[in-house]
Amino acid sequence: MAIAEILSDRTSLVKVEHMTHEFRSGRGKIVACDGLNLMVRKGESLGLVGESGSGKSTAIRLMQRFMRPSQGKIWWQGHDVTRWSERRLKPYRQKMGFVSQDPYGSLFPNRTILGNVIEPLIIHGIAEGPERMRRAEALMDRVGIAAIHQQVFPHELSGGQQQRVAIARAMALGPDLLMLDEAVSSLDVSIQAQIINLLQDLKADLDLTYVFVSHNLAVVRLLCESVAVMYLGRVVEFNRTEALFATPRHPYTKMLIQSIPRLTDEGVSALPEDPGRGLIGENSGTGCAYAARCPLAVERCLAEAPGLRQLPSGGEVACHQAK
Amino acid sequence: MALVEIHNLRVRFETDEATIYAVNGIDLMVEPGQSIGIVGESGSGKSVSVTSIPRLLPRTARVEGSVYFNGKDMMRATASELQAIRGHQIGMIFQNPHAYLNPTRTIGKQLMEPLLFHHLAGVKRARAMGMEMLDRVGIVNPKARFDNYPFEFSGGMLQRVLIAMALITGPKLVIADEPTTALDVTVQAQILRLLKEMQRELGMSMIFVTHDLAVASQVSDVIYVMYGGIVVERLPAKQLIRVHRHPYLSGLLASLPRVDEPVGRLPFIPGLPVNTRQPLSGCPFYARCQWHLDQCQSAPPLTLVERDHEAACWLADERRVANGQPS
Repeated sequence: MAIAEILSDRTSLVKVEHMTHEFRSGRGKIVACDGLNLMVRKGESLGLVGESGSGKSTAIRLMQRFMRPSQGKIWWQGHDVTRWSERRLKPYRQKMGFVSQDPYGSLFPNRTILGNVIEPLIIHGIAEGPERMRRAEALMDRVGIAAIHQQVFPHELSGGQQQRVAIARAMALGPDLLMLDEAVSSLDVSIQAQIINLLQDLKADLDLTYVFVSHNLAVVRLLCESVAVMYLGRVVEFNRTEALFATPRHPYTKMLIQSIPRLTDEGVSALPEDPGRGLIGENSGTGCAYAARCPLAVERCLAEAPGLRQLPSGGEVACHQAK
Repeated sequence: MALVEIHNLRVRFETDEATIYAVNGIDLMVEPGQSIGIVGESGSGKSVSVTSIPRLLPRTARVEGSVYFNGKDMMRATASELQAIRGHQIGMIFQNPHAYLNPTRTIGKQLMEPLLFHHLAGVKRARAMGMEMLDRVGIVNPKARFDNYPFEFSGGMLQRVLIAMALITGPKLVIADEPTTALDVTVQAQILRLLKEMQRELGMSMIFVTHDLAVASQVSDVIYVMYGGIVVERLPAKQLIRVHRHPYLSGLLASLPRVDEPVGRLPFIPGLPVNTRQPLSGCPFYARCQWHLDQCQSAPPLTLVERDHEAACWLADERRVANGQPS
């Protein structure tokens, strides 16, 4: 997915062009997203990874037009929706579900599980009475919530079950695209595996496409066809998932992959060596944002911000030094 | 003599609605200089167990059993004795540094507090030690940062401050309760490295509580796996992958997404976590275990299966349950 391709495309589910978002406060401004170019095609789930502050959550919120970007454009199915009103967006929202990190916080505490799942159907005026119930029950069944649980309230369920309900609700309107923001991060390992499996099944059975935000690369690997690695608001590397894991190009991606504590058949990976410091403290803001931590940094990295460039081996990387 | 010795610790919380059986009889031992990892999912009783060492549990907790720290019977210690131990001989680091620092006081003031409180140094000396400690934990320009407030630090930096605060008195034991859970993997790696270095340097013992098996085995010598308020397995960290016996631990290891395995469905542990509102009877893992027998309705004791390796499972001796398959 080269940048030129993104700019010319008109058919993707979601596309963003030069998307920039600034948060302003009394203490100055923070550029959360800085000129992002991303595209999500049907069947090509996209993983957004990066550490906190890298702008991945802002990106996924902008892509859903929960806010307007400061600059740049957002396209849904070929429509430029950057300036659209909420009323105009509403019918298109049916095609897009959202699951957040905190399952309990995202459900209505004063409504039953069933009430929560029915809500989107009511808002969008889909089906009626018994038909609505049937649809909601079918959804609950699909995500593995037993019938006896449908009349209980969210606080009576465990975290894993709450997340299943949140997923059922996100799917209530039959979306093509599911946006998931750290959807499994808060769950215990044994429960996390169940939810990942559910997401894998849903993706295969219903032809869903995901935009999956996570700091856990191992999880992204199981659910996404391609991955964009973000650092301080910019995409520093983009590639097919297998290629990104096999041959990470950007020094930040390399460090990120090395930092994951890994269990292999031999044992656990050792703690990574201290990456050392690059030209710390000299970052003027004009150069590469990663230069201060980068072991490969040279003078040029401080002077000139690297743009994403296509690599001969496929994939794109924003680094002067990467081969 | 072991630095920490816990025998048959039981903790329950009595509330108006229900009684929560958090810890149902655990034994734990920490030798001087040793690093222990306690691993378990939410509700397994891992935090409650370690919080009972410095006796920091809330008043609603009913604690039974014995806890010895450095030869002292903590269950019989007076309030002033406990106060002399907490923050001096036992340092604690928690998951959310924002919640444990006072937002209205500078980092420096809070950092000096343990030294001043325990009369280990005067203000001038405490200040110098505080700055030295900030430098040791990797805070750039400690002189300037000393007078900053917590909100001026990032989460990872604040966690370093909390570590500095826990270690400034040179404690014999540091208890780290999920200290890196809220941090990014890259920062997590730095913090783990720092903790490990400081632990070796100061010759402290460490109890590291986490839900992450990989992290636990990176920093510990011995791993205790907890489930339903009991220890189901205790084994040397290095052998975690090869010799585990308990079906819960096998299931847990198998369900971790890995970066070196083919993409596909993950094996998982069916069922739900233990209901801690009922007193434990039998094996806590009974309902979720695919190999359970009638025998499992009576609680299996933690028994030695090989050197330095114990498991609480009736099947641990008879067959090895490895990688989700009995063999």
